[in-house]
Amino acid sequence: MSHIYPKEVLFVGKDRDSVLGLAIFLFSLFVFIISLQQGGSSVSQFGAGFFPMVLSVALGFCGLLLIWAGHARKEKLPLPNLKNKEIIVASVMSLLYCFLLGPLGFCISSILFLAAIFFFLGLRKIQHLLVLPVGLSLGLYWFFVSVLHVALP
Amino acid sequence: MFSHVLSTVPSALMTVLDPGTLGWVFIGAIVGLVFGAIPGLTALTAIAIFTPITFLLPLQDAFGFLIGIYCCGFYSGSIPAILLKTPGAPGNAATALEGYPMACQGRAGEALGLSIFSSYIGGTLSAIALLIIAPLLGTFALKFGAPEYFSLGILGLLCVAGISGKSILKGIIGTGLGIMISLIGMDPINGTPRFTFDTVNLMGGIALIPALVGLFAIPEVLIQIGKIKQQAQGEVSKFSSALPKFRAFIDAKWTLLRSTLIGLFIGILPGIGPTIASWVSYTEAKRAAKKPEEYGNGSAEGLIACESANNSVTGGALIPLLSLGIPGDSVTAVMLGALMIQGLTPGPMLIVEHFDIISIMLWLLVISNLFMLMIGVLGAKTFPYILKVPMKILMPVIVVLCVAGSFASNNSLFDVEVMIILGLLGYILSQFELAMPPIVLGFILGPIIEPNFRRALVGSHSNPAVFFTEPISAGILALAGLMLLFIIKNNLKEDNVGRKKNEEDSAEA
Repeated sequence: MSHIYPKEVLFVGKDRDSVLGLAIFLFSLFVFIISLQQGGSSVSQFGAGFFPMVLSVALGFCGLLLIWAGHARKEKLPLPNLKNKEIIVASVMSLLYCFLLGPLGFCISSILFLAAIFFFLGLRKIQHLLVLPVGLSLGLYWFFVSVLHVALP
Repeated sequence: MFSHVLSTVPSALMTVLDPGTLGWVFIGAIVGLVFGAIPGLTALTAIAIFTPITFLLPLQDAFGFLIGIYCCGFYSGSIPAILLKTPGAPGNAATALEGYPMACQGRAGEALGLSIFSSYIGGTLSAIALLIIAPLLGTFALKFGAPEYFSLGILGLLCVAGISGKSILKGIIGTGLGIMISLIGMDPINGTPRFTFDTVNLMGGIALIPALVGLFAIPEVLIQIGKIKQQAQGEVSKFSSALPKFRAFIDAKWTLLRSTLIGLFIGILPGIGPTIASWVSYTEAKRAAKKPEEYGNGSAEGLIACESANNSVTGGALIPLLSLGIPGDSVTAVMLGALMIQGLTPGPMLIVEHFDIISIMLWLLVISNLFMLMIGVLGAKTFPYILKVPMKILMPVIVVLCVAGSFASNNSLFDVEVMIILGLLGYILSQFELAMPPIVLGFILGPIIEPNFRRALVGSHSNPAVFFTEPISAGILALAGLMLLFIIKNNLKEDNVGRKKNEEDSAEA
């Protein structure tokens, strides 16, 4: 692989700050391009796209500085380990919970979420898998609906 | 204006003495105690999670609840610092240096007592300072126009960027990202949609509560879940009561006063906060001590210095928030959002139009500190149980609270989806050492910075020099420049110290 890509590109992939800087730079570029499409208006010569353009240029410059800082560093900072099993599973469960909130409603989706995540985190007793999820979900539902007068799904 | 504010003090007390308001202050104090005492959770997390609830409460109840969390949360981080040598929040790290040795000497109760009384004195004195200084600053800020507000926003963002995390460059990137998120929706001057990608849900922009909750609470929950297997419960020191020897306060009276003033002054400076306040105060106390050799071995004076400064930040940080609309620390950054949710825009016009706000805040701070004192002294025996709350149960419950709170603000499932997506994004960014406070402050101040920037340019016929030719704006930008140089110099100094230490370690190896 090293004979195909220049060293500089490989260095970006090896340092945490360089990777972040590259992501920030690409994001700024994206925002800059979208901002160009936001025209001016009769209300003000500084249209909707003006400030985002200025900001994206500043952010892109910061991204380049970060890439350079990572490249210039002798001891590269390792990339973060995002492969933590507990975090990945908890994130997926939380995402599912949020998207099931509408179809299933707050009580049922919360009971299912709490029971599933308690089980995954190693709780096995019946009070943890049944009593707590039901009690907490119904308790929170009562608190928001009856005390705060908020309609939950 | 000062006399107007003073005249509202008695009526504000009657407003705040409502049983409902007192109840919410007490509940907030309990919530703050629990969240602040559990390492990994902080007053900031609690305020982010419970801000959605305040949307549904009257103003004094909402702020009573949040200030209860604020005051008690800042104090209760000293509990694990003393009992477990693990500070509940970065602001209590210095407390562990004196409090834990005291606990090891069988003086845990005395340490907890010194902590609670110091926090009470610092917090209450800062409330009085709020009453005096906020109207004066607000009067001065009436002279502010668009260039000044833009410059003030930049100063606030730079301060937060510099203090949060190890790298100011990443802090600045964080603020930029936060401002970028705030730009989604309708352009505030032209009224045209921006970055909505033809999505109806994005026309109103990203709502404040889902953003706050998502960026502060969810990453912290995921980090704690990731550590669940590694967490081992430390041995908690035993004690019978939390009452100090009051002689210690008389002996350390000048330390107490100096530390309170340090915390107050640092709290007023935008974006700094209790961590710096407690360390500066501790360092100064040690430098001025008659017996500096006692420091690090259970010095009562050292403990008083840390805790009084830590809590006197609370009143200080509310001063720029109320009078200028610029938060004094991360917690008041979230409170800025809570004030906006209540329909109030912090700044000099808030003080002009709502004199009683300052007085209400004063009394809420005084009462919160009183409740904090009562809970700290009478409830001390429950502290070891709080430290044993299982994270496996607490973290998922926090997710459910975040979901309910995000939905409650606008009755929108889209807000819940935004909350969780921002939360996951926030977690990934935190792993790249991008701190959340700059992002959130950028998001909150973006709608102030952008319109004022454009108005200033329109008013000056597109001349960007207006930010430097207006004297107050130029002064604020000069201050921002000095802060930037100071922060860069500090960052470089820390990098050099770290590099030398690594070289020494390698040489020894």
